[in-house]
Amino acid sequence: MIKFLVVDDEPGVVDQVRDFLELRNYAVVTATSGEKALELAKKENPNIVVLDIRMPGTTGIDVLKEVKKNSPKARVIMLTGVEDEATKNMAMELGASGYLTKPYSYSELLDMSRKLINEICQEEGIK
Amino acid sequence: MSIYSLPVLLGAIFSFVVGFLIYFANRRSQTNISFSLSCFSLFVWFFGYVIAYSTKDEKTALLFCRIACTGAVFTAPSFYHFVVSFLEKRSEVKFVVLAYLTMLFIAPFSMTSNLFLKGVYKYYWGYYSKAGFLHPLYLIVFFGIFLRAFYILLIENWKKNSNPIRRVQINYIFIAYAVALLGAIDYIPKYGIEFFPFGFLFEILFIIIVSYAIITRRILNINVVFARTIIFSIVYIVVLGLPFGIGIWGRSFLSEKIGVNWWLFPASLLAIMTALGSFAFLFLRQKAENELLKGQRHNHMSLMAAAQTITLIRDFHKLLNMIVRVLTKTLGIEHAGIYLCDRERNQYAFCVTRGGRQSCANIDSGNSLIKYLRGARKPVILEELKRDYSERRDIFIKEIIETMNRLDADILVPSFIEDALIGFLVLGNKRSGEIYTTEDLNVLSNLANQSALAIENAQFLKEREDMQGKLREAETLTTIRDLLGSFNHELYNLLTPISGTLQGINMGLYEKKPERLKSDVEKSITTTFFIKTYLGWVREYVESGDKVAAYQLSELINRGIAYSSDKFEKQNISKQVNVSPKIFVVGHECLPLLFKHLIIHSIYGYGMESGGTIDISARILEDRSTVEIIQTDTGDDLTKYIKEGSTMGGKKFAEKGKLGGTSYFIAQAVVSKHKGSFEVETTGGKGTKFRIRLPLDFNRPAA
Repeated sequence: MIKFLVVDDEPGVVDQVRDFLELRNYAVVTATSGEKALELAKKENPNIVVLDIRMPGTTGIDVLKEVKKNSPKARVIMLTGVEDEATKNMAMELGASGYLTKPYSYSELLDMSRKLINEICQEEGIK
Repeated sequence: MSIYSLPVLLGAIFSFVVGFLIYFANRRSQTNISFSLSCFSLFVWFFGYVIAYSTKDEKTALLFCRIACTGAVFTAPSFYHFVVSFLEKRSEVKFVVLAYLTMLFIAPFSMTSNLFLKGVYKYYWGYYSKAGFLHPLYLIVFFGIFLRAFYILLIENWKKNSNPIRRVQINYIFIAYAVALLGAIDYIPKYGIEFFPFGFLFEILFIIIVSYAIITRRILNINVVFARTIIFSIVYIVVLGLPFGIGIWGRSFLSEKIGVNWWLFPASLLAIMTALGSFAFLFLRQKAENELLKGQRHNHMSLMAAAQTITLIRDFHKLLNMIVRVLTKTLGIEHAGIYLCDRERNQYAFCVTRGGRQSCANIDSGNSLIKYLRGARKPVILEELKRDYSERRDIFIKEIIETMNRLDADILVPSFIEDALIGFLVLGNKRSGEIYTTEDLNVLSNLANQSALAIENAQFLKEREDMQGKLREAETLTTIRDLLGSFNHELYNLLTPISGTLQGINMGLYEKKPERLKSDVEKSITTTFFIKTYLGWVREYVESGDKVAAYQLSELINRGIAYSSDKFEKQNISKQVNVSPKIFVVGHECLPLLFKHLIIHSIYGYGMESGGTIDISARILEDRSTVEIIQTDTGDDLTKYIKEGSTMGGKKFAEKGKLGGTSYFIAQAVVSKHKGSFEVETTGGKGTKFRIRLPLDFNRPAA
């Protein structure tokens, strides 16, 4: 089963995304800080991380680097409140798989997630 | 040759030479041709009498008297011809022809028969014509023609001619004609009355006046001419008359007293009087002209004063309007306008006008008029150009005339700064109908050149202000761009949960969690108000004006604290303020926002959610012109962000500060606008310290 890690310092946002993904029968773990996200990333080994860039303390970029270091195959979808080519490019260079600008629609998130899930399935030979 | 024929001989030579010169000045002009004919008629008349006065032979005298009378016969039709061609009265041409034909019929009789001239008288000055039987009839015809010309001149003189120069010319010719009529006294001796015929003097005066009127480029006010002539005559009658009178009537007395060298006395007196005479003439002329031209001189002084004061006007449009107002009011001009050089478009553009019917056409820099102005560097008068064109038929002049007509310009006065033609004044005629005198044009040129300087200054100031405005705008836009960059980020963050809630409702996410729906909806509502507050902060900064005032620093800080007082209480944040009430800072309307947003930034920042301290202190630095404000908080530090250098909008994250940095940006922007400095020190676990330095008066920047 595909597992998501949703990270955002806004608890309300995290809960909404979790509910949305769970409705689609995905497993979801959540974190509201970068530190907690790293902890959970190691522990839960999620397939897809939905990650807010801006957070206090450990930032989304920090988490991205660590996740890609520990789980190179994990897909990371970055979420940001501003369209910034430089940040986007940096995130993509660090291994992010996608980029959504807030406020995003769940269908956008779903489409991107499905695409990544297909990639994962192909890699693992799963239908 | 007798002494009495000498002045007449001089008159004859003078008439001939003037006639010759006038004819060759413009052989195509009917005015010149007809006036030359008048001069030649007078020459024949005068020359005939030169011989008649000088000869001792009666037959010779009779012959030359007949020749003289033949010349005199043609003066009437030639004078009439001149008036008709000058006034361009086509309807009179047939009468001119009739007059010539009539005199052509009479002339042979004058030469060959005794009907008009039956012999000669012997007077003390020489032989003179004796009137024949039909001479009175001839006089009727002669005066009839003369008076016909006089009549049409009179009518024209009374008319309101739109052209002042033309009007003055007609005045001169009218007076000349009246003077010429006085020459008719020469007919008196023909009837046996011994009376020296000095009528030729009036004819010479007639020639002088008419020549002046039609030839001169810059015609003088007729009153001025009269005054100068009368003063000249009086002064030199005294200057010359006194020594001559003493020489003639005091001869015997002087010989008795002085001896053989008695003549030295009148000669010395003549020399002294001549020297004094020139000073006397200048003095009296000045006095007379001051009186005659009092109004004009007053206007000139007003214009000269205006020329000085306009350089003090900095506002470009006010300056232009003032120039045209001064011109129209002081000189009583129908209309006045200004054209200025537009270097970008390579043309002279219409800028301002006052009064009637002026067109607003722009003039290309390659136009003949502009070339002419650049070359001539002096005022251009339309009527003078028209006269030039009538003489020379130059296409270049024609183009200039057409352009001036298009501009509705009677006079153009160029404005120069060194060699550059900055622009020109477009002037109409004077409402009084008076001509522009040389003094008028000199004063206008002076005003135009002073105006050029003033306009350049004002334009420079305007461009500088526009540039400063653009720079300020660019600066503001940069700030706004940064502000919006951070604001957008926060706004998107704030919109995300609202969007999520609505999408969740749409997808039925809350069906199993109705309590979550209530709290998410409430959060969304709160968020919308927060968005409104955010928008208000940004708008407050953007819309703050540039009005400058002195602010008490402690009061500004207290205001900032008061704005966030509920947060202080709710989040249990303590504050310490150590700012002297004696510190005042001069600033724009946005200065209070600095402290409001620094405090917001700290309060809303990470790590201050459930307690903390905000410490604010201020001191005047040693330079006595700068105040340093330090605000520290015990919230999250920015070390990580500075170290990481993660970017947003191409700039380091740290520069954006906390919470997307809207408050941080506003605070920074305010400090920048007041030419201050903004430093951030942040240490792990010890919060953030802002060190802000502001000039006490931002017009004198901080060290």
